[in-house]
Amino acid sequence: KRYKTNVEILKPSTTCLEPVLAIQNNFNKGFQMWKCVELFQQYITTDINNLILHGDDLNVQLGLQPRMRPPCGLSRLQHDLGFQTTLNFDYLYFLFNIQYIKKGTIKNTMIHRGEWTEYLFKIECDTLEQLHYYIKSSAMHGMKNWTVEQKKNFFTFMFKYVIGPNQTRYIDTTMAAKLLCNVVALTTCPKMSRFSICFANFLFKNVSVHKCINLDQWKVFVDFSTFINEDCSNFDSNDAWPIIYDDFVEWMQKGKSDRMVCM
Amino acid sequence: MFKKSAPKINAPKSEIIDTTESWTLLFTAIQQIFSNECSNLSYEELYRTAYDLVQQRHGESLYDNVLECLKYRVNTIVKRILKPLKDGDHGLLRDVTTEWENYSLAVGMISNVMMYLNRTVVLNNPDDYSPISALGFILFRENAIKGSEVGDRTRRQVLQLIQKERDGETVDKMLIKGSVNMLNKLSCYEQELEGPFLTSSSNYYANLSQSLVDASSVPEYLRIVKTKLKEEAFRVQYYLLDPTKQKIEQIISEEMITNHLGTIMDSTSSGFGIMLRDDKISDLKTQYNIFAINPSHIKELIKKFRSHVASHGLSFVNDEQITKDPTLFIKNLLDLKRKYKHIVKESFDANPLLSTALDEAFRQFADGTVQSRMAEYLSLYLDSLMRSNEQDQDQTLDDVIDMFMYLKDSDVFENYYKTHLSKRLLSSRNMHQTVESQSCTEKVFVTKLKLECGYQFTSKIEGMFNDVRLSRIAMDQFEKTNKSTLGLDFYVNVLTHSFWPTYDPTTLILPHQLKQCCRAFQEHYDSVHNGRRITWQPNLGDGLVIANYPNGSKYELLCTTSQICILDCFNACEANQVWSEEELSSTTGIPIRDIQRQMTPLCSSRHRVIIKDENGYCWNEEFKHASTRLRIAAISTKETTQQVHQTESKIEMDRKPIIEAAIVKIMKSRKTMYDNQLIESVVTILRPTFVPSPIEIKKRVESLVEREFLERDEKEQSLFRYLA
Repeated sequence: KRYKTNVEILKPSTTCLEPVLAIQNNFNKGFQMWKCVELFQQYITTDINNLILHGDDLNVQLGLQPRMRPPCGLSRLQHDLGFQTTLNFDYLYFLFNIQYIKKGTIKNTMIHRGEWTEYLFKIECDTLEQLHYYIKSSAMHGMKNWTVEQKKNFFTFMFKYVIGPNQTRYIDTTMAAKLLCNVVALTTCPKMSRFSICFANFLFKNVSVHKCINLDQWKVFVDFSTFINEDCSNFDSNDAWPIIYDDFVEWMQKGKSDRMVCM
Repeated sequence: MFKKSAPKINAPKSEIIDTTESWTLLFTAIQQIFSNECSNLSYEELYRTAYDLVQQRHGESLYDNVLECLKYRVNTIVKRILKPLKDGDHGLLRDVTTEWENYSLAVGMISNVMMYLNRTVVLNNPDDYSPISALGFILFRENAIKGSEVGDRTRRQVLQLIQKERDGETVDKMLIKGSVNMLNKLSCYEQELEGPFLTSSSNYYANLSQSLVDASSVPEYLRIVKTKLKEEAFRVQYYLLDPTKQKIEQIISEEMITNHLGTIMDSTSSGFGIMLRDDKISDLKTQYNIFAINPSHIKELIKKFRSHVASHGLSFVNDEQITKDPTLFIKNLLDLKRKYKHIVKESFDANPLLSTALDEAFRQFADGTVQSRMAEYLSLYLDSLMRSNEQDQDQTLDDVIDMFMYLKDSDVFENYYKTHLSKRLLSSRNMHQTVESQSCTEKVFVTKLKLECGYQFTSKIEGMFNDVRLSRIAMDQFEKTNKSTLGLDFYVNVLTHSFWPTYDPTTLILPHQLKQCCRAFQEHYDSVHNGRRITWQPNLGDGLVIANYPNGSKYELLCTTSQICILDCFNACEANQVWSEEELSSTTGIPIRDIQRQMTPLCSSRHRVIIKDENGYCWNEEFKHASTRLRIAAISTKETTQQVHQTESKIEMDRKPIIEAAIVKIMKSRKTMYDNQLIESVVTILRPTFVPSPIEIKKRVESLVEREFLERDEKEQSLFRYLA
């Protein structure tokens, strides 16, 4: 039995990378490649061709461990762009877009020199200020017109970003919940953001039961938030949803999802 | 050349005859036949006269004349029968049958005379004319039976006689038989007699059953029904026609059973349930035979039987008092099974439908859902059976196998069976001898299991037997070389790891002597087999300790290796030295929680080898016992609740890889599959072993997705794909 798809027909946008902005014109003439490369040079550390995020840095940012060594390139870039925490939709959206240029492959937290120049050339930014402005304004449209597939790609990216270099197959439940309420909840999809807050609450409260989330469970959230009604009336636990969603729906229907403000 | 043509035979020249004269001749003859004065008639002449008439195209008028004659005759007969009204209908039947016999005889003769008429006129126009004999019957039927009171009164008379016979009077059966034959000849038996007979019977039995059902108990009532059925069968045989038998049976079954089914089935004093309870074999047989007439009754019987057995079993399984003793519980359950099997065989004609119903009923309460420890109890029962050393338990083993087949999860039983079997195999010194003989009960049981569940199920169990056998051979070799150096009677069972239940690694610290033996064996084994690793499981073993008391008495204690280690601690110390549990634990390496378990039989009031007080344990200097040889090692018993949980989780763990293997097996051949199809297939594959829950399957699928054996389709969330 296949479930009936009740997907809202999304406009097939050719690309999600280039929201045409009026403001962009101002920068058009001034783009200079050397400035762009110089910017990249500022943030390289050991590896001269890649901007790297260490697992340590991520943990430090999330307050999981004290800082032991100077922040790495990507971490500094994030700070200089004005993002206090790495779990920020605008910032992740920017990283995702840089990597998404190489279509299909989603790597983890690393920006290659080529990607950097290519992307900055495309959006014609060569200073931090321009870049900051561009990120802020493009993220406003984030996810609005995405297809399910694009959303899934973004989810996969987030997952791999959080895993970082330590190649595990799953992320902590707390981490997933933080991603949900700090990143997914801020997207412009109303249903998805409502679900994500609920789901984050559920995860926070059931950390002991569900200790970690794997990529499959994480990605299915996109399907879940797309196909399931807000009152979960069309949810059937006999369908192929992972167990955690069965539990989630049961939890919601028990009325436990009182509007707890997420952390 | 032409043959001389044969001489021509000409038909005799028919003379022109006088029709009136001819008819007068025939008419007189017919009258004579009717009045039984036919002995001096010349049939040749009559036949020729009729022949001539037909030949000269007077056939039709001849036919009409004969018809008139017959009609007149029938009317005369009717008048004659109805005349002696004054003495009632008593003699009526006799008159009717006599008249009928004479009439049919006469008609036969006339028909012979008119043979040529039959052959020509009638044959050429079968629509307008009937043969003379048939014509005679039709006329009699229409004019005498249906057209006058004769028919009604005959019927009334016959029914009256039947009623009289039912009430126990003797009646002239031949008289009824004659009437029935007449009606049958006239082909109006069904219409004239059978129908009214069935209606009156139905009324009769309705009234009868009404008055009987309250007055008598169900078995009595059924016996009456049986007698009635027999009587009716005789009646049909004596003077009714065969087709009536089935109809009258249906009527009795309808009136006496269907309308009182509720009472027969549910009567609280003597109904079906009560008969089952009290093993009323012959009464049940009566009931089954009566019910067999009507398929819907049989269906009702089966339904009731099933629910009765199920509720009986359920009350049994839920009874905590009975379930306290597993062996007794299973024994009672087997008795229950035997009881109902006997009933099915003896009373219900071994009807396969009822055997199936019995199985279904048992499955309702004995499949391990209601009583989750069914498998464990069954294995314990088997254990006690095996230890009892009784011979010829073939039937009991068959019953146990039957009970095993009812279990939903055969792997649970396998687990317990293997645990108990391993204890039996390891605890008995002479096991290797028994194992080698084909006829021992253990072997017989395994063979039966193999028959039911296939080779795979028993291969590990057979491996266990084989290990025990091979160990004996290995030990013989070992003893040849090392006997003199050991100083102990030392025996090792070499167990193949994958065949036996999994055991926790042991921390037991063996006494020095034993340790030496182990080392010697290890050296020997390593030299014989290359690349095999030995892990010692001393806590599975047992041994004989000879205790020499200071007062000169001497006892042999048969106890487990752990107990030997504990006793060894007391060997070196003073009589009143007290050992705490912690001290014992650190000296012997046995975890504290196990110390208590091992000490219990040593301190029990039956033995009191060790004395326990609040400070700890010390040995009993004044130990006394009637026999010099004591068995201290405990036999397998019912698990504690905690152990049950352990076993459950262990089985749960064991199932995970089995489910995953099934999923991978299916996906490997199908490549892509929807979630619910997959769950269905997995359940189908695993059903012989156990029934996995869909939730568990889903969890396994998720785990396989996580480990990248499968992937979820990007577009269709319920479609899974196999990743090679």
